[in-house]
Amino acid sequence: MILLQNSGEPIYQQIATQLKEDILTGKLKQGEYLPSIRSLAKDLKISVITTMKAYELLQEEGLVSAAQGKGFYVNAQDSEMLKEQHLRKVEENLMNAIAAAKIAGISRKELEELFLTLLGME
Amino acid sequence: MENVLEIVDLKKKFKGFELNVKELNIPKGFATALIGENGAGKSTLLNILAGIRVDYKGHIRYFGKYEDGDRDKEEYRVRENIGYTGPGGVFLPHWTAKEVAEVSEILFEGFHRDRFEQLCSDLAISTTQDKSKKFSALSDGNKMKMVLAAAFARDTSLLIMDEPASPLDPLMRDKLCCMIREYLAEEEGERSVLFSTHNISDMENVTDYAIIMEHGKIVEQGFVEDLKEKYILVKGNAENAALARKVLYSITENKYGFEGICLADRLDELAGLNVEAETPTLFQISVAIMKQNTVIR
Amino acid sequence: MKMLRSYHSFVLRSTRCLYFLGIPLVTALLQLWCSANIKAPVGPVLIRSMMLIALIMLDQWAFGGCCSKHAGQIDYLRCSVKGKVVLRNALIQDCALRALVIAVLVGICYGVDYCIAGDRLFVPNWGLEALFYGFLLYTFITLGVLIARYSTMFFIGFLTAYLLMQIASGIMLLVFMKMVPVWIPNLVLGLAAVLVTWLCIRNPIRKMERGYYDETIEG
Repeated sequence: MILLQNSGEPIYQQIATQLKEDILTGKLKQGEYLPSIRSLAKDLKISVITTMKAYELLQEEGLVSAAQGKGFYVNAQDSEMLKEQHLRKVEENLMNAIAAAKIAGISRKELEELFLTLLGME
Repeated sequence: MENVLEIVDLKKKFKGFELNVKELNIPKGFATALIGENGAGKSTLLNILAGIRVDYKGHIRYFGKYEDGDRDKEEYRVRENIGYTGPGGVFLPHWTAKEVAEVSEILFEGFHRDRFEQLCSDLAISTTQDKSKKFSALSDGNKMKMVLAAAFARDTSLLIMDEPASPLDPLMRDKLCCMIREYLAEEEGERSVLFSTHNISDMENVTDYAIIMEHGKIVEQGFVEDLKEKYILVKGNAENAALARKVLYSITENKYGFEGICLADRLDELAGLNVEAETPTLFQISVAIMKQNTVIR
Repeated sequence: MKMLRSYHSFVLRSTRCLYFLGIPLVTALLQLWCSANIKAPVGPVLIRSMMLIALIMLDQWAFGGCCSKHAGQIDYLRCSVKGKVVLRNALIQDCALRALVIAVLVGICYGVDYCIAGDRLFVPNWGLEALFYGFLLYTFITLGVLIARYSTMFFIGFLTAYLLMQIASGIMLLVFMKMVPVWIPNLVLGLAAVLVTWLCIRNPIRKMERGYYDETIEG
């Protein structure tokens, strides 16, 4: 896990995002327990409230659930949700590309061509 | 959320100063920082909470079940479970590490001599030279290290530390933060730490809950992540400074631009101006709030 | 059992060595010299005066300054429920050991003198005389310690010791020259010893208790 202090994104969000990726890619398996909030805080050298907030965020998104006295464990992820998550990510990245193109003054036609070329390279 | 300390109507009057805390709850399982200027009342408050000064009015509840009167009843083990470190003279001046260990064994049941030796060694005060030096002959930094070693060598549920980082060098401050995190991690959620500081930037990474004091009163408190959403750091160009001054809590200006903290709710009032908003650090929030309440020009 | 070690925390090993080994040794040697070279047993007066000063000064390394203004700051004992008890135990042991050491020193003086100069000290009533010396030393040393603990400066301790030594020597000479029957000072000193011991133990504890209170204004 890599955390950036000055990226403008709150640290708890960065943690949540990276853990989310691990969960969606299957690195963290269903039913597996995440490290306790305090041991994670200790390892990452941050405050406990930050890790707590990260876990709460994941809980809100339905990725993990809290078990009384035991901690947070990974929920079962169905492929439908996985797909939707990834779809959202693709959409986000495409929006970024369009915005960048606008600033650079790249025309719509040029952008489309670029996109098709890149797709072809895969 | 459970509280390790619940304080109600705490009052203490000195010449020219009064400590007045209407209500304060220290959450359990977290590291709480008490931030304030010199003379804001931090030491006074911590001395009262640690039970080493008992002349005050008000009520304190420990661990959710013991009242202040129970502090001296041995069977409730209130004092046994609290570790206190203070600035300056905590130990007798002619004590060396050996006497500290001896006395601690008699005074506290949960004191582990081997842990103390280990800590002294980890904190580099175990070279025979330092260890056999009298407490009064140690440097300020080494004094604090020894006091910290004695406190961490005990089995406690609450650490109350008065300016622990002040006499320490940056490397040691980092080590202290690690020690605090380890302390909290060991008994998941059962242990708490309360410390005062005036260099919040060093302790920011370990602080979960912040309390800001001025003139004996609490002017702001909250979980750090909540405070970082309540307050926003705003930066803009000089031409907008005049307008911004009305909205911002505190502002620093120069000929190139301005920077200041404002309540997130009021950010809309700056809409339309060319400003950038950032998450502030706890340091920036504290300074802004303290500036509001201080007498320093 | 653990509580007996309270004394050890206040009085370091080096001080203890001086106290229990060094001083008796020096006393014995001095008495040896006096008995051998000075015909009249006036030596004891000198020796005891020196012991008086030495023992008062020694306390400075143990409980020195514990009643002074600065003593209020030492908070470690206040953190524990047992803090006061530890201090009290240490103080009581200190007084008890002081009495013991003095008895031993007086014994050494008589013993060594007997070995060198024979029976000269064992006059009728020598028991009361010995007791007198014991009481005198104990009372004056404890008084000196009581006063010296109010300051953190060695100089004050020394001054106190010196002044008390003068007074004590005066009294010793009076008795030595048989100007006062020995039972009078014995009685007075005996009572004084009790009083001074009580104060010696109570005062540092009171100081510690007062440390729980800053100078607040009732409001």
